[in-house]
Amino acid sequence: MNIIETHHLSRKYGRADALHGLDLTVPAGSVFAFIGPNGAGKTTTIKVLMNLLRPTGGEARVLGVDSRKLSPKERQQIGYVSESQKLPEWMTVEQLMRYCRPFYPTWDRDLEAKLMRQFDLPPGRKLKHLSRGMLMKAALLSSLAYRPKLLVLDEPFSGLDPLVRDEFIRGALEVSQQDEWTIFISSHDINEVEQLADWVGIIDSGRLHLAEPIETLLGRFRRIEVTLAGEDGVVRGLPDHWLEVERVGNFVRAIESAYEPGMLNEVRGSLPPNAEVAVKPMTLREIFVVLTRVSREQSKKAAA
Amino acid sequence: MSLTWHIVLKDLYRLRWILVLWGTLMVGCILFAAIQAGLDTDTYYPYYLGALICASGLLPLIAFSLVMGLIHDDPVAESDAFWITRPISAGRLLGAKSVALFLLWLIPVIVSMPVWIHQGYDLKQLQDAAKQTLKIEAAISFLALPIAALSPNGSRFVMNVMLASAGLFTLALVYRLGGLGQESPLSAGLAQARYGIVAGIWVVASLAIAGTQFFGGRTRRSLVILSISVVLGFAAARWWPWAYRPKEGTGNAAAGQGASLGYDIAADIPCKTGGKSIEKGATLQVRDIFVDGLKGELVISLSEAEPNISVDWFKAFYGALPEGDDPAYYFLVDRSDGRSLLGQVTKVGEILDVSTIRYSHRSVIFAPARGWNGTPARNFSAWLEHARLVKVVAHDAGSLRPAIPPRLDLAVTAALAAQQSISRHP
Repeated sequence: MNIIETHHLSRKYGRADALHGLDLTVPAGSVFAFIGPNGAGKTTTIKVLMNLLRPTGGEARVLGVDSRKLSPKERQQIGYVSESQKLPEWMTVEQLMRYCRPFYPTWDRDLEAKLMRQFDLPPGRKLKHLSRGMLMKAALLSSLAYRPKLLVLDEPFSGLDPLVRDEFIRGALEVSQQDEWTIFISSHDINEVEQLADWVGIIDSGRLHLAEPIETLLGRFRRIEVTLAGEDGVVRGLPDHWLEVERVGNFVRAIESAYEPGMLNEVRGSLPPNAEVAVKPMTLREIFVVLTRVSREQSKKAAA
Repeated sequence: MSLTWHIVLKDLYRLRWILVLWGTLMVGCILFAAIQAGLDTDTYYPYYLGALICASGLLPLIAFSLVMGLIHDDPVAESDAFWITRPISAGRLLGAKSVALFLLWLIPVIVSMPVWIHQGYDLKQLQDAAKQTLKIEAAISFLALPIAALSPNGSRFVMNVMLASAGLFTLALVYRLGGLGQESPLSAGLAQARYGIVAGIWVVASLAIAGTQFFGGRTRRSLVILSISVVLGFAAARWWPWAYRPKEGTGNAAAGQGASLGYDIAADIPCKTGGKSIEKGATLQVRDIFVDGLKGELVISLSEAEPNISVDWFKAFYGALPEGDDPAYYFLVDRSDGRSLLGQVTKVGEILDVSTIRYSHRSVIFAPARGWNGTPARNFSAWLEHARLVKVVAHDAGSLRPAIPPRLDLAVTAALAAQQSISRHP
């Protein structure tokens, strides 16, 4: 079952397209990292999903309901924490909890107390007197204590120091693993989300490049280096689908985006016998950078 | 406790200090008004000024700001507002804000109630005073509501209020330059009709804008509604041709059909310093009596506090009720010899309106040679021992007047009342 689904979702700001026909599915129980550079359309997507913005085309479904028709019943199952969210800063942390409790039948006072201790939040301090990290933790606490089915985190790590990030991630993960929640987290901080996520979606310029399990993604992307030992010739016979092919003399470096263990032999067969082929795994960050760069080059070519 | 009340209590808690300030200023204003009413014309002014600043400046300003505070705790023109991401429906939020707004309107009624009771208001007057107070608070709220609903935060609200004020000023200028100043004064019926339509358009527009903002935050659509309502309101205020005609048989039926005069005896007390009357919610106190031996005149200083309930201040504001004529007449009557004297009213102090009570300081001069029946008292000082001060309020029966009835008509009616007052007490 998919907890989030979008079909041809688009959103315009004036004449500028923020989202272009986005087709996205987030399976239930996954920790889905939605990554992309600044201005890629991550926050717009989340705002459409949360019905904070209306789509100009297509459809988004959250918990099986059209996002434009999210009712309090669905909201009781959704937690949302955003860097841009305006909290009632005149309240103390305790007042915020007291205010939120009655809206959620599933509010867990024990979990609230546990997270309050874990996040080291001062209950009597006003939100406006909290640091940014503390404020995000208070927002997370108010979104975790009712054990939502879906937790949406929009750039939660922006401006947080590593210690607070770690606490934040641990808090979210601990609770979600107990209850098999779905976490949808947007970020441009790939190293952080890599620790968290089991699924990843990469978006740039309002277009979704991929959405798949991280394991699959890491498994199919390889950096391939070909060297013709002792020859000054040019390497020929490389597969067409390789990305970012760089040639320097008898050395070639490229990205294989559909790697399978057996395919190396095929590649070797098309190369001179003295060619050395090295295959290196890639990090999520490297894959993200490659995909974003390729996408932008393609866009430039298309525009030209 | 329902979730709606949960939101209402949160809002009231948030606004608690400003509500305390508002209530304190209300009490202060009432106290200042009461103190100035008890002082003579030489010393009342500082208290009068304090009460005036509170009643006409600070209290409406705070009431206006409270609407902003109420709306902006859960802003509807802000896509990142906290409430939107929580299980709070727009309908519930609107309901909670409406309840909170109504409770805010009740505060002046609750604060003023002991004063009204102390002033001697009867049940009907209490109802009318409460209605009048609610009307004023509602008017302030309906002015602030659309601006608050269209502004995402306090600073934008202030900016939008300034823009709206500048816009209204420009409209007023266009209205004046458009030739209204040269027109003959509007008939009361026409003024009433135009006022009613403009007020109606504004209330409908306020509600429509609030609804549009709460149920979707569609600011552009709200601005279109605002623009249309301003154009319609301006057009109605300027060109609406049909006058309001009340149904036959109502009090307003007298409009345009000549004055239908009546009177009330508002006070009937011994003519002594400190003499006090509390009648139908109106108090009159004799502060000082001075006999000017040289001129042969008697000067009585009075302080009065009357209910200011029936006057529709919207109409007065709109210009339908010209001010300046005072239908109250003061007589000295001696029921033992049947003679009476009409006093010449001199308004000495400024009039102050606080909590539906109109406070005033007056001096009334009685010159025996100008007695109503033309016969001066032979022994004026001795005559005063038995004289009573009678205040008669002469009025026309209809509340919509084509013009103020001639002063002479009212004076004659009042004089007849004074005579009847004598004959009723042989």
